[in-house]
Amino acid sequence: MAIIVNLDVMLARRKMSLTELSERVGITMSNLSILKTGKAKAVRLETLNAICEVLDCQPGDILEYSAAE
Amino acid sequence: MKKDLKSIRLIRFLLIAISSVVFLIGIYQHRSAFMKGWNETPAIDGPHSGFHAAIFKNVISKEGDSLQISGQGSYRFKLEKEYLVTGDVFSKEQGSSQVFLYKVCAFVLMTTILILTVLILLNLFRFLGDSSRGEIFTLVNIDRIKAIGLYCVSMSLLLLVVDLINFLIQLEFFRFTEYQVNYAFDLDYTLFAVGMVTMVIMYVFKKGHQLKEEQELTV
Repeated sequence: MAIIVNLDVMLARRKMSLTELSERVGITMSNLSILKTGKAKAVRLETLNAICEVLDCQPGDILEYSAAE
Repeated sequence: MKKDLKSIRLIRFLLIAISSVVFLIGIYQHRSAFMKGWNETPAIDGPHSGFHAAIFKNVISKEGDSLQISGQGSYRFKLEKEYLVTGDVFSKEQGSSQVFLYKVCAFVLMTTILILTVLILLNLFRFLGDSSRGEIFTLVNIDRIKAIGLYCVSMSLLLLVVDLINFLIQLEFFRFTEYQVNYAFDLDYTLFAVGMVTMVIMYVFKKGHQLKEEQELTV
């Protein structure tokens, strides 16, 4: 897919583990893994909102469009 | 959902029960054919074989002979030789090699149809088994539905070929007579339609699987 998920980059910047994010956002680890590995087919605005709130970032920091892929 | 799963289990049970009863009745009704062999069934042996044997072999063998036939109750009629045959006495052996070939083809086709029937039931049984566990929109089930549809369509076409072979066998029987055997096109349309509808359902299931996958991968 042309949309790249940079969740791992943001997690590294915030020095936060996936488990901590999962606990604070209220999403299961398996769902966060799906998002992190780029297997997700859709992201709810509600989820994106919660992640941005916890990581203190913009949706553009997590999602990126790449025409090359 | 629980109610649906219960209904599926009930359907599965009914499928096993009805299939078993039909199979047992089939064996009971055709037990003599099972014991004698595959070539003794009246359908392959030509229509009213006893009647033919009576006319062509024994009763009407010389000029002036006639045949009295008694039906149910007091129904009777008389057949004269000139109304029935040209003069050649019919014998099964006269066309034996060709008839044998037709019979072999019919046997192979009927065996294939039997195998297809078993495969359809097996696929349906497994599909209902998975469905009763809640695994409905899976790739395996899609393949099963596709197979059922293809088998149904194939069976209707194979039955058509069997019909044609039966016609050819009858043609052989009537070869030495003045009778003309007409071929009546008889496609098992219900089976064909069921197969086609099943194929359409397969596409619905494919879409269902796609939606399920999408829903599962939505974070």
